[in-house]
Amino acid sequence: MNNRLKVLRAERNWSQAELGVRLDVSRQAVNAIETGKHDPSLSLAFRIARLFNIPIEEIFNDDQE
Amino acid sequence: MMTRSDPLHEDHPMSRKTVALSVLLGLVALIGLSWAVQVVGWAIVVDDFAWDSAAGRRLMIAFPVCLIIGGSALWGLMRLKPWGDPMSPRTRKTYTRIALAVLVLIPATMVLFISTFSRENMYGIFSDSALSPGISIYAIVSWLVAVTIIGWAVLCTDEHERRANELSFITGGAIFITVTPAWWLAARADLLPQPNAMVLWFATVPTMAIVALWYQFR
Repeated sequence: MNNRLKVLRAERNWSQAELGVRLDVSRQAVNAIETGKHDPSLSLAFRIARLFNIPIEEIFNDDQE
Repeated sequence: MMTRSDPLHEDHPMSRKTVALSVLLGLVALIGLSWAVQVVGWAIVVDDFAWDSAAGRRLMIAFPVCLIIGGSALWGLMRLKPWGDPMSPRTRKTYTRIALAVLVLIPATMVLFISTFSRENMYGIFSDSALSPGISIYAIVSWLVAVTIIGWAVLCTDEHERRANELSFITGGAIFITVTPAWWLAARADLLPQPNAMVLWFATVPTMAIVALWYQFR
């Protein structure tokens, strides 16, 4: 699944570790999500959307269209 | 928006106080842990060492004291974390619990090592040599406590690490399920020696660790 997490993080000048602290996950988890190696669970995806204050669909895209 | 409860609110200021405290904790950790190692080395070097001797009783007190002092200082240094990126509370909790499990295992490992060490058999800890009931029970209890703590640590991992752990346990289970009956059947035909539990353990556990670390840090 594609995502804009890295872009959104960079816009706020956060490191992966800092984003991990805000989401209460490890830096490795953030890296895995950004590189597409791990798809976040629904609860984590909602937490990400709430953190950036934008809809989930604007962050994650499964390219099914 | 950052609030006072936000873990990033205090963004690891590197004040002189922080630097001084880090250096102090580092020194105490180094001294404490090296003393613990020296105590063990002394027990190995002394001829005819016995746990119930005066020297043995001093060792039983000195080793854990050095370990606690050094380990506590190291833990304090890890909490202070003056060097790098912040760590989420969940990750910090996981690492703390794993460190606690290691602290439980270290004395048991040292006791096993010393009780099985001899100049003729320096790696007796890995052999099937006899153990006293007291040492055996102590080692078993330590192992059960450490495994319980690790299970407790796994409970608070994030979903990415949990997936890594799932894969590692699947791998370990697959190795055990595949190898054990095959080895047993081969032993019955005298093609292989009798199955050895510790050989299976040493084949399985490091493989599980490699899989978990690979998935987590790839």
